[in-house]
Amino acid sequence: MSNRHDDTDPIEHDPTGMRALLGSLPDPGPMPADLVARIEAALAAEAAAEASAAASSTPLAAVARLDPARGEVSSAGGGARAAAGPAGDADDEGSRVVPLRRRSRWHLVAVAAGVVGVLGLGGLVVETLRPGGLQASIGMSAEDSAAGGSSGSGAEPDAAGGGPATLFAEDGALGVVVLGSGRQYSTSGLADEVRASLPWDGTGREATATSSPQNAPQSDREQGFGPLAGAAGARACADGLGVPATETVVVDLATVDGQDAAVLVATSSDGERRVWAVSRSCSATAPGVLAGPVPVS
Amino acid sequence: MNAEGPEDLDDAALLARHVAGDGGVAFGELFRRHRDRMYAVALRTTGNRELAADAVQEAFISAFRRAEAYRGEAAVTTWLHRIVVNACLDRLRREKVSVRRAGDLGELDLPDRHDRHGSTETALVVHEALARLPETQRAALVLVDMHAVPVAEAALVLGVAEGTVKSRCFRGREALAAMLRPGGLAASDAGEDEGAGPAVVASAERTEPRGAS
Repeated sequence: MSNRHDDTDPIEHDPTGMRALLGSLPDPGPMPADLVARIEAALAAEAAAEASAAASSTPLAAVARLDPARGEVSSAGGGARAAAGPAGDADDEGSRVVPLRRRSRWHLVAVAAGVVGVLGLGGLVVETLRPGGLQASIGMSAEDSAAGGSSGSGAEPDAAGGGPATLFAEDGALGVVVLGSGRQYSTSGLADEVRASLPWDGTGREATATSSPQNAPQSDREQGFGPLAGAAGARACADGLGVPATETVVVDLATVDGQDAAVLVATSSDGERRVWAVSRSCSATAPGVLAGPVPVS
Repeated sequence: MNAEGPEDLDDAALLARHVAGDGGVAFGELFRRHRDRMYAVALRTTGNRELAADAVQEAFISAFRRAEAYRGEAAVTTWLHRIVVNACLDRLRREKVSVRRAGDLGELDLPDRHDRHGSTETALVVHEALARLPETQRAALVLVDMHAVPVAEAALVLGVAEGTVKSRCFRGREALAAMLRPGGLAASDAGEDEGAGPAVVASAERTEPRGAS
């Protein structure tokens, strides 16, 4: 049954017709949006790890390491790009991934992380994932903030006792992350400013960051920043904006056009993102929209 | 200020910028450019969406970390292909038993909305047969016959001699043709039920000729 051939035959020589058949099969299509978000989040963690290693300062710096045996994310320090090993060998511990069939909680982290990336927090740090929720701490240096068009003062998080960027709240059940970057946005350039913050979106912006997770008591946070500093308040605001409960929400307590405000980014399961600028009093009944929704591609 | 954004740079320049350290910007552009193709290669090599997704993520992280290992002797895409294919083969070896079972039609959902009508069934049958090939032959066919990668480049990706790539393609095609003949897959199933493995696959797994690395 075998067709005779040898190495001198051109590769096109195919009496079986299988080459033509294989070449005619339909393309599988693009990488699914949820996988894109998941890999972007993993790469953001890698970039953050390198930045942390370069800064070689805070012991709190940690980067997401995916533990397939446990099906969750665990913390590991360092993570600078390894120089050892052959390029084709992808079998080291740190590069392992969470199998999709066990990644429901990770998926939420990944989506949130992708949105956090959009918000300009190149120093994404995802810490230990706890049952029932996600733990994400975000770091951004003053330089990073300035690169995004702000003065980089980071005044508000500092006033709250936090670092240059602070994680205020996270709730995996609600699909909400709230943070304070100190960034200064503008209503006219909201989409571009958010888009430009994505480390790999082709803007050429260099993302450098260190991690400085801060967690002041929620009551103190809400006293200083209003209900948006809490996960429930952020979700209520999103409800007021008409964001479906299935979409992940990240709120950045910042300034817009020089005024205290917040930027809210909603990401659908398809990876589509919309951004609003809202007042700090945003609620389910009175969202106080300053700008948006604006798609972020 | 640097006037050239990542989108203006070629792949090699992007990788060089990444190695120099730019916070992931350049590598992100590489990911954006090549993610769909790498995903397609992974999907066709593994025949399983979950394995493909895991493998391609593993591959991009590995490439991110080990960019220094790229020496410019081949195209960046060749280097990426190699990492992706190796990640796929590694995952297949780790989960060989389950993947053999994943060769069942229910798990092979490669044809998608891009298909039209009758072509779907044909594609499913071909993919089922493809999934039963030895992994090295399948990888060669995916690169050379499905993605039109030149033999020389495929040899670099697979880390074998060009003659080995050609041999794997020729033998893989023969095995595929045998399985796609009327009753071919059923005979293959019977062989599996008897615990001896598909006869056609056994034939395809014969020792590779000269040039094998």
